Amino acid sequence: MSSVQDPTGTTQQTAPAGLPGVVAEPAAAQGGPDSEKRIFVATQRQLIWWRFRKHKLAMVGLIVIAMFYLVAIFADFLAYSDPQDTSSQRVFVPPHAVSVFDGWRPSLGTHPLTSQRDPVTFERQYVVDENTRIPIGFFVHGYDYKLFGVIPTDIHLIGAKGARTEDSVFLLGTDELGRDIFSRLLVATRTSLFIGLAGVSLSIALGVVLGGISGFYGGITDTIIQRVIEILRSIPTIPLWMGIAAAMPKTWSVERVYFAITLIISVIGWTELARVVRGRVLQIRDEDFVTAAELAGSRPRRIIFSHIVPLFTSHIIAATTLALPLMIIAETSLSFLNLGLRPPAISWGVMLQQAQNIQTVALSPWMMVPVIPVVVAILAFNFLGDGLRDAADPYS
Amino acid sequence: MNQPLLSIRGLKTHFFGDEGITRAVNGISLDVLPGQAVGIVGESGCGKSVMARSILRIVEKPGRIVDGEIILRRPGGASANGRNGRNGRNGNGGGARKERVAATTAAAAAGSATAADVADIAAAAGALGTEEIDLAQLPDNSPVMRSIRGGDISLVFQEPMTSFSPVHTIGNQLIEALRLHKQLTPKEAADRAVELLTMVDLPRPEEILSSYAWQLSGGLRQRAMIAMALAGEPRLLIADEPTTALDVTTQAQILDLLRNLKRDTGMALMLITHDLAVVAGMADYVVVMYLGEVVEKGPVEDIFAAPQHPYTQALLRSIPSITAPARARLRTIAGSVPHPFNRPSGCPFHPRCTVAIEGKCDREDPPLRVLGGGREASCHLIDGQPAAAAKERAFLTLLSQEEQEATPTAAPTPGETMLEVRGLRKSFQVKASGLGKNGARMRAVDDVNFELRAGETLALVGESGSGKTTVSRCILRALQPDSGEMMFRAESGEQVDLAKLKKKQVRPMRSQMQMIFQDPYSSLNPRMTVLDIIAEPMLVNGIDSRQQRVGRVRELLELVGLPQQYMRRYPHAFSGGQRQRIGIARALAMHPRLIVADEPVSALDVSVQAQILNLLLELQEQLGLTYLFVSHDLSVVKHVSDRIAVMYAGNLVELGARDEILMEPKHPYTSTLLAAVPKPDPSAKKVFVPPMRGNRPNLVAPQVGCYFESRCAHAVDMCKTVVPAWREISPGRWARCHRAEELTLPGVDAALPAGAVRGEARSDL
Repeated sequence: MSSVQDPTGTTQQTAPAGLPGVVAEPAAAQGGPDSEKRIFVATQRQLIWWRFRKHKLAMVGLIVIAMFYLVAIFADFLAYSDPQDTSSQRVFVPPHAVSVFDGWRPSLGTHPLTSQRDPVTFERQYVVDENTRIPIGFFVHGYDYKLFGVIPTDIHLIGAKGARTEDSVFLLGTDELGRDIFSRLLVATRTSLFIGLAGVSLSIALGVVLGGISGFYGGITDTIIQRVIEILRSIPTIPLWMGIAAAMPKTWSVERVYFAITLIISVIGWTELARVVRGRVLQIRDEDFVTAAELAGSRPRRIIFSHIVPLFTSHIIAATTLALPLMIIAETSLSFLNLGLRPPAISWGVMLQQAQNIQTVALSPWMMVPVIPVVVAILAFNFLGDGLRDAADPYS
Repeated sequence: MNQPLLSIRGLKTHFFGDEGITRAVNGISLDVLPGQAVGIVGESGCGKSVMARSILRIVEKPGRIVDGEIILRRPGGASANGRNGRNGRNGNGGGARKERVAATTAAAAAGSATAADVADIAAAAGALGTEEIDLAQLPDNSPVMRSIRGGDISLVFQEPMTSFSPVHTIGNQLIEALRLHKQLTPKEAADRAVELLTMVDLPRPEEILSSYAWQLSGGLRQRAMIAMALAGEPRLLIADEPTTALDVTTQAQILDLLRNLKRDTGMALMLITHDLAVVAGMADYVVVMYLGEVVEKGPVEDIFAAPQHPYTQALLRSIPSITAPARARLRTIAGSVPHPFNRPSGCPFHPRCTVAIEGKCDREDPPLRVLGGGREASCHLIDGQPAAAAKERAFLTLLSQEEQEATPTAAPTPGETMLEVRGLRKSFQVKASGLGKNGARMRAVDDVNFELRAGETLALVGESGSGKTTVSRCILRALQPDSGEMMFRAESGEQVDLAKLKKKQVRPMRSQMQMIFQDPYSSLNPRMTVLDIIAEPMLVNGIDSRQQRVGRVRELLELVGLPQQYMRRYPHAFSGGQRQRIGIARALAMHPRLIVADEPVSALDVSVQAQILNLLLELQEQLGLTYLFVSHDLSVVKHVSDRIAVMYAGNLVELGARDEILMEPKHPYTSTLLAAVPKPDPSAKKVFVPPMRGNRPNLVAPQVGCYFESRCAHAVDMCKTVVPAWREISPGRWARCHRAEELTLPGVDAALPAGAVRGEARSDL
């Protein structure tokens, strides 16, 4: 028999002849054969995706997040200046636009700056030399970096031709050490977004395992795990982080601090997820199909992995998406408080920490630019998470 | 001439969703006369509730009324003018409101008027008397609409728990409702509240006033809800499935209450239900709905005696009747109600109709034909030709078909004992506290004894909370019983005590005993295809060859009447009835001998219920299965069972052959239960419903006396102090009552031959 069924007509004929009283019901719905067949054989993943697509704001969030991660992956390629390159000749340069036309001919270029002191206030001022033009080219050689952390290269998307890019292009200005803020921001995006991801992965592992055990076995195990969660959640986070951060030796390398921060953040992060997982497991455990599997003779392992886990994966993805911004905020606030990552590591928090004083706010407001990606990323993550959460249960 | 209180003409309520328009209500016309009880019948998804909500203008978004009128007539005069003036000042709604003064001579406004007639009458309006308001034209939240809700028309919902706020006492909510509609001082309102609660037969009304909804049982809550609906002295009470969530004895009492209220207050009643038996006992006039349209309406006696529309006929035949012969096949309606989103073209019923005319019924939607005597039906068979001839033709087709199928199967000769349950006990902790303190325990199952013979069907009957599900789960060892034995004769012939087996030892027994679940939605894993679901028992029981599994799944699908092509589909593609078939196929996968069916049809529509019951009977014959059939519904039980065990408060109170239990019950509880079952026969209306008062037994405290004593009409002093024993009063007949031998209790009305009512009706056509 063909595996394709026309729901509009042939159902009645396929009723088995042997049982007079049994009549096959026509397919639950009639009409629109193609779309229907699609829905009937759709997997849960497809149903979630169809439903998610209807959530406009979440789609926007998804696109924004995708762009953020693209930027994070290609951060060094998109950056034009070495984020660690300092020079006293170009501190606190204000943002400086790139000119798009040379006369009437479209071409990217910029003009050199010369620094001078105001004779009265001794304020540093930058004067643009409109007569000289430094052309900007695509795919030019710049500082050395490793693409994806492995391929050594020095090609960047843009760069000044005939001059050092570090001394010529200042899209978002420079900081107090003369480092280019735009390039630093891109590299910081990578750090901040991936520390969130790393922290969440650890949280998921802890949350799913402990929450799952708590929900599936119940009883005394459940009680103990729930009490631990309550204790952890009752500790004020900032003092806890301060304590742990203070315990980290100053001699640790940037990478070790990075790793330690991830650990600290996920120590708290898993509790929320564990509760979500526990609730879901408790709910699924009561469903009749789990009893049916038990009565069929399935062992607990099979019940967990083929009945319970697949049903809450979508919920976990949603919970993760909502946990990520919290991780990012946590990292940012830790670094802002000088407890987290330390220079020379670059993250949104580290950058903001440098913009902490009134002088910056008053005289070089561009130093506060990292606030924008923080806000945008967090909003986007929340929209995405909301959409996923609504779509996670396509049968409701 | 009596003018209708409410006239609905061509009402259309559509839902504008993302996927398209759902025509939930699609052109309904009906009238409710003052003091009349109108029953609205149809399966789920036929738009009954949406219609009720449309009347009160509380349709949920994205639904709205797109066409038609809902005319409410209320006493006019000064008050009408006053309202009119107020309306004008408010400035909203005044323009939208169509106010007419109807000519009271409008005779045609009764039952059979069409929309056009009413428009004419309205145009000719001029005299004084009543005020007419078109509810369909009023803004949702206008002051007039608010005064109508609760004031002229009240609504009682199915689930009384969600209709009350859990944070206010019943009294607060009732008094608030009273003061909204009447100018009353708080004192007067409180007095009136007590009066209302007395009216709905609530014991100790003062106590109820100060309690919260969650402190009351379902029946009391529904009574309180009705009291609240009566607060504004409405002239029409709409009851939307008011008893569906209640036990059968409670249902009988609530129906009785509604009947009395209608008689005493003279208000009209619109009773929405899927249960034809309820309608038979309650309604004066019946409206049958299918897919948002009225397919037939008429006086209740006529509808039940001589249904005209094939859908009504089929519905009536598919009700399991408590008076029908045993093991009779139920007449079914093919298929199930399609989603209103996928309306068939032409007559909405034609894909399921046995007498559909090809080329006509699938193209044209038949209009409602007036048949005289207040009857109308929409069917092409009654179209144009002399009505009687067409009817005859329809019935001939149906009757011949019926005769083929009506032969009941002989009850199987009972074989050897397959399962013997002795002294089964199971209790649950009442209050789980976090710190491991041992709370009191509730005896859910207390000393249950019965045996199950190979090839028979034993029905376990009882109300919710009587412990029947606990018993069935203990037998399957989904629960571990506290004590007792369950001797099971395994396939190998050896006796195994299921209660004593360790978890590992139970596993090999699993393939011999399987379960069919109540909820067709929760019982199938939504992430698995039908193939995976049915094949799972084989997979975990070591049938490793995929080919073998697929082959068996094909066999099973054929056995339960589902096309094999559906194998790759996911459960969401199936209707409730189809899902239940999949669940049955899964239960049969490992060739079990014993099937525990836990309320297998209670979540299904009447027509689908009949299909599943027939399937279960056929499977039993074909495969020689033994069933333990758990159900609260005696009419269903009557159809499938050989013996019946009645449970009350965790005890078995009576056990015996089906006919003995039904005809001459020996326990007063069984008798009460039997009397409470609504009969699908309008002439049985005046049946006395024995009141069942008193408290539910306390299952936590040690038992003193008979659990049923406080509710029993036959209780004597001894019943208060001595716990009745479970004893065999005659061979094969067990009861737990001190007076079992001396009492002669009424059973099902044996004088009524099976199918007599409907049989006579057919002969006069």
